[in-house]
Amino acid sequence: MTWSEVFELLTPGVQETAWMVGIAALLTAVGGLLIGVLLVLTDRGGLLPAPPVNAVLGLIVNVGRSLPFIILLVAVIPFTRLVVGTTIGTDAAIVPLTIGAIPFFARIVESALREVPPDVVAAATAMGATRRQIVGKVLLREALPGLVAGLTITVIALVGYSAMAGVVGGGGLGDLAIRYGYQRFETEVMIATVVALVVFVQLVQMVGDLLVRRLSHR
Amino acid sequence: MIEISGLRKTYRSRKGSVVAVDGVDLSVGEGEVFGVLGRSGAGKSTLLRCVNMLERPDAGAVTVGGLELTRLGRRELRVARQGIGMIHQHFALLSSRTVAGNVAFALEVTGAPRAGRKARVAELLELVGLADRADAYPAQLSGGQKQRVGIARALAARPKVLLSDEATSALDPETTESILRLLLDLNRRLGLTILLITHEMNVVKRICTSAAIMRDGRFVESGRITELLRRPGSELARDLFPLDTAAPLDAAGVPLEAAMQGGARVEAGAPAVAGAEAGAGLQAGAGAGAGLQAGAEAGVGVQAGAEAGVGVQAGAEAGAGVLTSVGAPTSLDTAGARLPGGGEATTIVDITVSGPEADEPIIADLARRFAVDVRILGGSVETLAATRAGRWRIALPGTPEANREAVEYLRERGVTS
Repeated sequence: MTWSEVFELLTPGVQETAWMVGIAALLTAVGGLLIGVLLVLTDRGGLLPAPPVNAVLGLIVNVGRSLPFIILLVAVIPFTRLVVGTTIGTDAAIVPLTIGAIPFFARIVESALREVPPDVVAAATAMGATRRQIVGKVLLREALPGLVAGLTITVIALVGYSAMAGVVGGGGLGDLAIRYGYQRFETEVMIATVVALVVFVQLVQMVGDLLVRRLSHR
Repeated sequence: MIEISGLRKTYRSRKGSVVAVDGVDLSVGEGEVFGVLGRSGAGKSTLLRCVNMLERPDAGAVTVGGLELTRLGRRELRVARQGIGMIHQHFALLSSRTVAGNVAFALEVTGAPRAGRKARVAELLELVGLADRADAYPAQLSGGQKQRVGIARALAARPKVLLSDEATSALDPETTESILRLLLDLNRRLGLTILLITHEMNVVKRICTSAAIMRDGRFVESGRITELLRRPGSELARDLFPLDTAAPLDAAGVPLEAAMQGGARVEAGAPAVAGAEAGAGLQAGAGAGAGLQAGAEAGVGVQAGAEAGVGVQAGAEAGAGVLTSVGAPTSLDTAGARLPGGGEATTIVDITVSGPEADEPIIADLARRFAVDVRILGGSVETLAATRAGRWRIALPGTPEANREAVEYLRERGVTS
């Protein structure tokens, strides 16, 4: 196989991976933020203390976190079919990717929000701020650098997950590596996939670090 | 301006409950600077947080500016809080916003119209002397500058009341001084009522018109500083003018303060050792007195204090079967120390003056009128926010009986009890 042939295989692989990871990251950011904020708010001593809600949310997140992704991938197949109509292809892979990453990111969000000094929240309360203002202008804004750093980690984890999704027909670089590198002993494809993945992860990390540096004024 | 009655707050945990505030009554008049002094764990922080309902008290009423906060619902409370400024020990600034942004936050919270915000922020930064740092982030500021931002932010909604939670405790002495000056200035210029908690006597000394000493969730004493200083046995007076570094030590080296507080006499009878120890204690105290710069301020030879110490010690050394009685400086301001075996009898009197009388030549009057050789064992004069005050421990030659008239004179002038 010539390098130009390898390249032809690689381009759609990279695109598929970027698509899967991109959309899943977007959905994860929204879902993870929501659950992470709720975990902090409903905690004992939080702004909206509701220990039962907190316990249930915590349990759901823990269940999601305790399943190895490859097992989650298979376990959510009925749900995937329900949502996307198929279990094959990159679109179908986005469902398990998102479900797997939300609990992961939610915990990161939770810990980033907890890093905001309670003093600062108390100060805002003492000024007469509403809960909405405290969440939006204090908690999320103050935790933003941590949230972006956390999202960077999550995106990189998603790249790893996406390779596993590739194994069960999700497409992307993982699929490529398995089909050509593992099953057909095409070493060039294998090397190209590895290089592509390394470059991809590097780029994500660089952008993430840059953003964090811009946002952080500590 | 602030009225608190029967305030009680208990923290419950699995390990049991801790009573943080145990029935506190407090009244702060308009334009007053009220300081609550106490060690950490005394409950003063909880007390302050109960004033703007950051902590809900278990019992009692809190009224600020005529509004009973303890009865308000969430929404009303939120509005009421906008009229109460608060500053914090660790500044509690938003690290993601600039200095101007932090002050603007307070305006956003109150729903001030966007148009006027910028001008108001500039005005507030001018007020605290930070106009040139408007675009800096908190991380780029010194502690004192951060607290100035905190003060500007607290004043944004034009509150009548400012709560200060150990606002200078994280600052060095010079910065503390500049922040205290700013607070005093705001108090005078804006008529701002300030309730502050602190563990630093210096803060009370510098800016408070009234004070309370808090211990184990209660006020041990409270009132206007000028009145507290006159009150017999006032802890504030004792802490402000620490004469009782002279407290004699018992055999184990523990200060006899506890015994003395009740006005009890410390009798070291037959055992000469005990007598000598009491004498040594007195000497230490006199030595401390001599070291006080304020003694020199009072215009009296410091040497006298040191001499007194030596004299007492000598007496104790010589005396077999010494009887030393020391009155409690807190509650019994007059005491005699008789030193038998040829030793001279002495009457020890603590005098406290405040207000205009702090500048009167009381000791000179005493010496002239009764022709006594007054010796100063220790003491100082302090310039307080509300007044000038002084406290001295003096020794008159002769027994208390012999000095009755002189002591009576001091009592009439209201400087001793």
